[in-house]
Amino acid sequence: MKDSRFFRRLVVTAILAWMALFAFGPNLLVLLASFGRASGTTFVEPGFSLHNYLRLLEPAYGRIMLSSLWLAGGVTLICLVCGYPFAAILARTRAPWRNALLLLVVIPFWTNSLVRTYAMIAILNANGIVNRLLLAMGLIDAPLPMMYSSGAVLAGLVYALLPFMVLPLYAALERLDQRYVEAARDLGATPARTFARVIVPLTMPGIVSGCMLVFLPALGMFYVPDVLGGAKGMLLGNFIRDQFLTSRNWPFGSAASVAMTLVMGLMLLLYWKSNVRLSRREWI
Amino acid sequence: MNGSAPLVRLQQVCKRYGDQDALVDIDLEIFNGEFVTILGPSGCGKTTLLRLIAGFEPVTAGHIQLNGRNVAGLPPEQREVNTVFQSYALFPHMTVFDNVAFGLRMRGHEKDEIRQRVNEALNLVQLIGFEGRRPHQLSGGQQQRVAVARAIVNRPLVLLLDEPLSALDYRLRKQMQMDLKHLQRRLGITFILVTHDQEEAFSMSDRVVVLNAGRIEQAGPPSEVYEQPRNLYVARFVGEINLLDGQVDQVEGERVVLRIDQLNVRVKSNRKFTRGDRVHVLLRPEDLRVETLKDLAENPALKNSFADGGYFTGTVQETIYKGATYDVAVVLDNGRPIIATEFFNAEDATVYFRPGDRVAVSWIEGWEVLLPHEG
Repeated sequence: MKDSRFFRRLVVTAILAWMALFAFGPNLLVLLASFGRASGTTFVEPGFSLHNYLRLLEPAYGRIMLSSLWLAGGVTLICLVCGYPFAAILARTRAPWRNALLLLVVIPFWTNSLVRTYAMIAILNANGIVNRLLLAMGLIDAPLPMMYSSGAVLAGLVYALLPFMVLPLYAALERLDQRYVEAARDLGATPARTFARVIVPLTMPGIVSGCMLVFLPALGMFYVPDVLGGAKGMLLGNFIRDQFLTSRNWPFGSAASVAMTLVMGLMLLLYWKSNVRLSRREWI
Repeated sequence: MNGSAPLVRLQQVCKRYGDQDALVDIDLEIFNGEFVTILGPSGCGKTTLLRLIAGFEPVTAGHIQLNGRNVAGLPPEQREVNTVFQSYALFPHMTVFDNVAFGLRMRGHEKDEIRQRVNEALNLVQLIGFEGRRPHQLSGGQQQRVAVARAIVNRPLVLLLDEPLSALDYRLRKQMQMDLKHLQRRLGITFILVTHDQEEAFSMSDRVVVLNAGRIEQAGPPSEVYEQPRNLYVARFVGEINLLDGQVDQVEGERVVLRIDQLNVRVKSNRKFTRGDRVHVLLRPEDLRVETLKDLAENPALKNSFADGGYFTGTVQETIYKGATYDVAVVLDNGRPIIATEFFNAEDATVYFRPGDRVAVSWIEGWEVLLPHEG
């Protein structure tokens, strides 16, 4: 008994220490740095000013923020539209096939996502699989320039993040009691209206968490725009990295980072609210 | 009522899951305004039958007609039936009002009409004032009533109820049984209720359909099913039953003389038997008469009033107190256990029999049911 209690304390302490040291501490440093000033010698000159945040609102940077949000929003929407039917099919499939389909979703995780992003080049470039296929079919005369465009970045992000949408949606749809669907049909709702009025509201927690799991990384995954988007178009993730590694303006990079965290926090709050509203349904 | 065409007609309906037969050759006609209960143990196919009528699943073979129209291939939203689900399936993300209004909205009724009809329905189930609540803020009984209101507000041809009371406690269940029955009388809507509780089936319905392993064993008014069970299965399912085995000795029209052990017993039956047939004699516990041998010896009048064909003797094993009545468990001298229900006398409110008492057991001629021997 005593041993196990000691062990439990040890584990909890270790985890707390880990979190404090590697999650809470660094984030606090970033927050503090965001209020400071850039300095040539010490990276950050401590202080308190909102200067960095105000700079974020300058048109040049605002545009980066907006285009990043725009892109991430597009990625999220595409993932949702593609992921929802897939998750719905997954949730309806019987046991052996369901596991096979789930495996298909999970298999990409076994390969490093940077490697997978490079693999996208082989698919998208002028001499890539897509172009060769289209040429062979006679649909085009010259290779389409797909690489180094925002379209390529979009495709890369969707490819990398789709599983993060499918899995929570699958969990929500699998948990959805079919009797609600039957009740709606019984009361005269067509399949389409059943979907809109019953299935979507009842799987909202899955939709929200899937969207968050896609939207947030889509803002921050800087290597996908790097590899597939080339030098064109700066996104928030790249911007933050550049502030730290290239411009050596740590406070400004920190401010951008904190701004991104705030966006995440806001979305988490939204998610939590929708969760609280619907979590009580176990009662019925 | 019986002269008109049936509202629901099932003809040779079969349902198979893989190689498992859920329902076999179901023939059933239900008339407008009837309260029909489908009674059977779990897994007998009774819920499947409701699901076929509601349109959640297709029949494997046979036809279902609703109001004279074949409903094959018609999705649930196009059938004029509504279901009260076992777990109620109230939409958790909607208020009571929105739940009840759902069906009307789906059918595109005017706002004012929806408000008025929802109010009427909530009034019928005594839930006025609960419009703004969510299902999780209601008790089980209230949820049940919302489920009923949500269904009847659409004025369906038939209301299907899938064990709607099974989640409620005993007293509330009793109350809801009466409420549902009164509601049915008031609205005149045809109710098809599914239950495994024979008491519920008997107290609520005009007609009981006993289902076993996907087949209809018997269909008829509750009293008929109870008093004239068609086979041993029905007899056992709809209450306690005592069984005696015998052989037909003589047949004179409706009167049959049976030989049970060493005793010749006169019984009545409208079934045809011939000499030598092996039969079951079915006796409900409340139809049995039990007297101690001692009382019979001391009281010749009692003895004369007691079974002129003779009686069985046995020994009391125990008595079971039931409140208004008590059961006497007797083992007959031929080794067969028997349960008899006794009422407390006005002058004697104590259990009369004691374990070990030697007793005579008989019954009033004509109260027994004779069935051909099954196996």
